[in-house]
Amino acid sequence: MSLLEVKNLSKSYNNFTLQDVSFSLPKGYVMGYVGQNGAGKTTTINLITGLSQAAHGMCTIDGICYQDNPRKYKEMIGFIGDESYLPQECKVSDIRFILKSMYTSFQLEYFNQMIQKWELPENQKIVSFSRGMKVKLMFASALARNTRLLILDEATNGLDPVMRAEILELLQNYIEDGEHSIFFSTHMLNDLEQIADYIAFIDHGQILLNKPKDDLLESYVLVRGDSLDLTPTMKQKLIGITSGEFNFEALLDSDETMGFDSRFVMEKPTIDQIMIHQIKNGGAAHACN
Amino acid sequence: MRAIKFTIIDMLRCKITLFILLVFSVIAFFFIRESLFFGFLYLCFGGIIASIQPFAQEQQAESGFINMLPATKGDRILGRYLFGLFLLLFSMVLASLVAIVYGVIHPASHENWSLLIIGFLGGGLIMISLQYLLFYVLGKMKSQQFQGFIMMLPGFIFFFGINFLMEEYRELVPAIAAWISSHMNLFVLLLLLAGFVTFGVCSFVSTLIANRRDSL
Repeated sequence: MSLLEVKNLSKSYNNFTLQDVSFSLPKGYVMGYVGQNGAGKTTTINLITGLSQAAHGMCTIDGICYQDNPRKYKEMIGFIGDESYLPQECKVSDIRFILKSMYTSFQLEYFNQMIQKWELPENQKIVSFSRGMKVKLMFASALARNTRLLILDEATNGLDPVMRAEILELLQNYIEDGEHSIFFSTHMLNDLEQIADYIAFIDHGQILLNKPKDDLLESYVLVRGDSLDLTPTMKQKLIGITSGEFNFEALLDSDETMGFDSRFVMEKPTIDQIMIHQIKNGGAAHACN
Repeated sequence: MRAIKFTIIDMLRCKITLFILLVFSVIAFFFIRESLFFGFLYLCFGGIIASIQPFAQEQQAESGFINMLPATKGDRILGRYLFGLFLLLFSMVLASLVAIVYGVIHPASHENWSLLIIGFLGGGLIMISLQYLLFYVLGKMKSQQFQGFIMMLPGFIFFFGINFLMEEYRELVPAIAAWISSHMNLFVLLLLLAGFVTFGVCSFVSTLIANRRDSL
């Protein structure tokens, strides 16, 4: 059963339009949401969280939409952004007080444990925290509640590898019981390779791809070779070709490898390479939903 | 109830304004010329200026925390209006202390300052409610400097406007003051009533406006 259901979400700004974005995220899974800067990732997140109002479409979490019950809807979401959204003039004690008074499911002891474990100073204003400390506090604030859906918007950017690994472990624990899900928008595609179950690509406000990660990785092969060896029929099959003086690199549908013989090198692509060839190099025409 | 929680959040974030108002109360002594009226006017001005603090502090990034708290936009907005009311009450408490201390220093003074304070509470509430409504109508502006200027405007218009009018129509002031004195109870009651009506209407309209907008 889907925890997050997004149907035909649309929203227009002066120079950007999000068009008919639809996807669903089952309980107990992680969806990676990938796209270039300005592709529409944050707009989608703002619509899911209810911070923005969609022109069309709807979004439900565990069957409840924002308009039906904004309080319950927000209780179910844990949101962690790319920059610190915590009030800068507050201290950890202020944040604890706010969370305790606003959220019925706030677990004080668990929050205190995380604050102690991460050695976050109680009496220092958040404005003086380092990026890592701010991220830790955001995670402590979100994880110390009984949320159903964790939404991460570039949350692991700028963290050191040790901290990143720790956060990824926390996220794995979060979905372990099969009742929670994570919607993870990031540029750190290595993180997604580790924990994502589904990958959705967005470009120019439209979903280009939405597949289980393993299916996605098996759907394509990365082809390299001499440009002179390519016939016009072969060229037609290639997705997002990048050509050097003599060599080329492109993505190829796994079912379309016929004709690409030993003159070409074929290997399994990473999500990064799929994204680059699908989006940056004009692979949109080959996109499948 | 949730609105009050937002009021407390605003208080947590704007602790410094309470100290600033304490400074205002000291300066208020210098504004007491022939009447306590000018000292109270200055403290009321302080309350109005201090009440813009949560708007001035709000940053877009914060929408991920404050605007994601489990509450409606109406709760959030009413909480903000209640914060304005709280600051005004606080500045009027300080005004009372100023009047008491002034009375001790100048025992000959026999002004009925308690009604004057209630009158200022009503007038200040009208001003704060109107300025909050203005901020919600304008929304977030691209230029922070311009936004800061706009935010200070209502308080300055209130303070310097009243001072200007009292100077400009100096000869009419005694007659007006005498009329108000003779109808003081009714005048103060109406002003307070008008303050709370403006408070209710402005917070309601602000919620209607916010419900049509994104919370970013």
